[in-house]
Amino acid sequence: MQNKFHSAAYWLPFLAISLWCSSCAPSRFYTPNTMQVPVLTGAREGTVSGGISKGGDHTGLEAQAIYSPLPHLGLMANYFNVTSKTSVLTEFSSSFFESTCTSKASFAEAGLGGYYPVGPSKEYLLSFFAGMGVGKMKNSYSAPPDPPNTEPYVSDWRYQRWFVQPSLSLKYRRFQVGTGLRLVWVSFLDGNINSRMGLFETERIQLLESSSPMFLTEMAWSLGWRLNPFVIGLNSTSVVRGNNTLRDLDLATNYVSVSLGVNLHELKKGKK
Amino acid sequence: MKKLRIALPLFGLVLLAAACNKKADFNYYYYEPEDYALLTQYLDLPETPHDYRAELPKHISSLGLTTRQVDQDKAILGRVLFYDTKLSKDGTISCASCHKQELAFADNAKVSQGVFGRAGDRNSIALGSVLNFSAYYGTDVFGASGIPFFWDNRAGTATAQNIASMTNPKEMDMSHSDIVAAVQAQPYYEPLFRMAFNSGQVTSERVSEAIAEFVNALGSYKSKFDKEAEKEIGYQVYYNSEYKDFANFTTQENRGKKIYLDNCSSCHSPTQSRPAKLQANNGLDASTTDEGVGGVTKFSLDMGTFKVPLLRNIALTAPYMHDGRFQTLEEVVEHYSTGVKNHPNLSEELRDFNGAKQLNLSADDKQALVAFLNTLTDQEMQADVRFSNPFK
Repeated sequence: MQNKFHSAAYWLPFLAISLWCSSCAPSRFYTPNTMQVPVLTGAREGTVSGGISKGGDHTGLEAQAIYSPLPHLGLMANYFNVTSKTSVLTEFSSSFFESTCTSKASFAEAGLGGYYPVGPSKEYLLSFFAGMGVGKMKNSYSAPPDPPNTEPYVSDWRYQRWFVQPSLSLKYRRFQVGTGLRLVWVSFLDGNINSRMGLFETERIQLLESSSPMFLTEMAWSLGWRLNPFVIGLNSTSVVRGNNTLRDLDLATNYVSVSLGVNLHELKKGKK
Repeated sequence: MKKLRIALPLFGLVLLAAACNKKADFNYYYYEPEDYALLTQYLDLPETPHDYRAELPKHISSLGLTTRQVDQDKAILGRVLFYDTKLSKDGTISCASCHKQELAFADNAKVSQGVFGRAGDRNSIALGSVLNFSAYYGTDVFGASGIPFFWDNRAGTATAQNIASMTNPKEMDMSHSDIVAAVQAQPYYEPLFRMAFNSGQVTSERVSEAIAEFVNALGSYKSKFDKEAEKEIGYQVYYNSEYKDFANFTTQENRGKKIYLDNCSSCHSPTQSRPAKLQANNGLDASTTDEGVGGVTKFSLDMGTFKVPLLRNIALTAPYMHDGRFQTLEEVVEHYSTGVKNHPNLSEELRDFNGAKQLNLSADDKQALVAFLNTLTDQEMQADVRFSNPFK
């Protein structure tokens, strides 16, 4: 087991598949954040982490924290801020052209849940968290070259997301692995859409609006290498899109991140 | 721990219930808010603009006829210009004065009245007699220049036609500078020009281009005939399937269709897609009373010949012929039945060994033919808000 974990050949396929999948689909309309798989063993334990991420065409920064104030009870908070620049084949005044779409999204959420260590040495951790977050997305589409010097057309909206996530993690020596299932309901709230960006894109956004609230199933796995009090993590979250309507939307299918975390309890221990 | 086991699933359920109740509320806008506030003082323009895309039915598209792309912003501007009476010398005449939507963009006067009550020379041509203006007059089998305009085919492009009508003393009687001044005087044109041309600069060419774009969006292909033809002919237009009886036609309409195909379609098109001939003399008079195309080309063979119109919405476009001499379809049918004159340039299709060919239709045949012509009316186009007067 230890040898396997130490072997790059064991890690690399996961890494390669994640990076490959993260480029599979455009993600102007929605991209998931990294699912935080809790690795807690008792009260007053906590971790804060930051990382860089990529989902669809988005790249960005993430911050995550989890803390257990009481035995079996956990609180988590996640934040991300991503940007992307994509080429969108759209139609403006009935003529087709390639528009550059610059997207910015930020999202913050908080969750509450329980965890329960199991296994002969309590090395496994079962957890169940639920929570809610709010985010906003802004897409700026470059106007067609003719006529020149036209301001970009902007669409922006706010959304909220509710989630429930059962997960399982394992600590083994210097490593920790986790996997989880996250069921999310994404509700788009209000938005302002400049329909001059083109009918095709406007129709897609109308489809997005009519699909709200969207139910998405997301699956995640994470690998962590603990160098107390730090944890270097590689995380992947994939969206399993449901019906055809959802597939017609521009949703990212995969999101990966590399993170550096600090185990607060380990840090405290070290100081003592 | 027990409390947690109960509390957490409950918490999840509450979240689920809350999540399912949210409905998105997106505000779609096309105009900048201050532009829209100004425009809506004068105009009834929807916040999200009309979609001017056209989708031709199978029995038309299978002929290779396609619609030209219409510039949305120019079409919006063109619609306003089309209905604006300020573009005429006395401020009473717009394009729509002689091309009325409820009449398939034709006029019910023998010859239309222009500024200061001046009478025009010929009957107003129905813009709604074509299945789609951009398909008909755009790039198609007739060549890049498309089908020419006016009864005498004197304008090669829609923009040339617009300018000719606006500057015609019997129509709108405007000079190029008059047009520019009239447009510049109206505050609602600045944002519309800016959106269409990215500058508020007004030129008569831009005015004409925008009107042409709006006219290019006109489409009429939802008549009873079209609905049946799409179903019964579909993609089989090259197999004489137009002769098949249409299921939802009456016996009389189907009979009229056969008479039409046998006697009229060689000029006016079997499927009302495009005319088979650009010009013809149809024997209205034995000698030339109006030179028509010949007045433009000066060729003797063109004297007394005129544009061959399509017959879409023909029931709405009375009076008929270039001079509006016939008030009813019955009179038109009677002309082809017994009244064709032997003009020197009479079309071959209307000739036989004795000179002018008379169809000699029976009374039932005439009624059947008129019944068929009535199936060419597209009621949807006459009520289509995209083509309606935008002024409040």
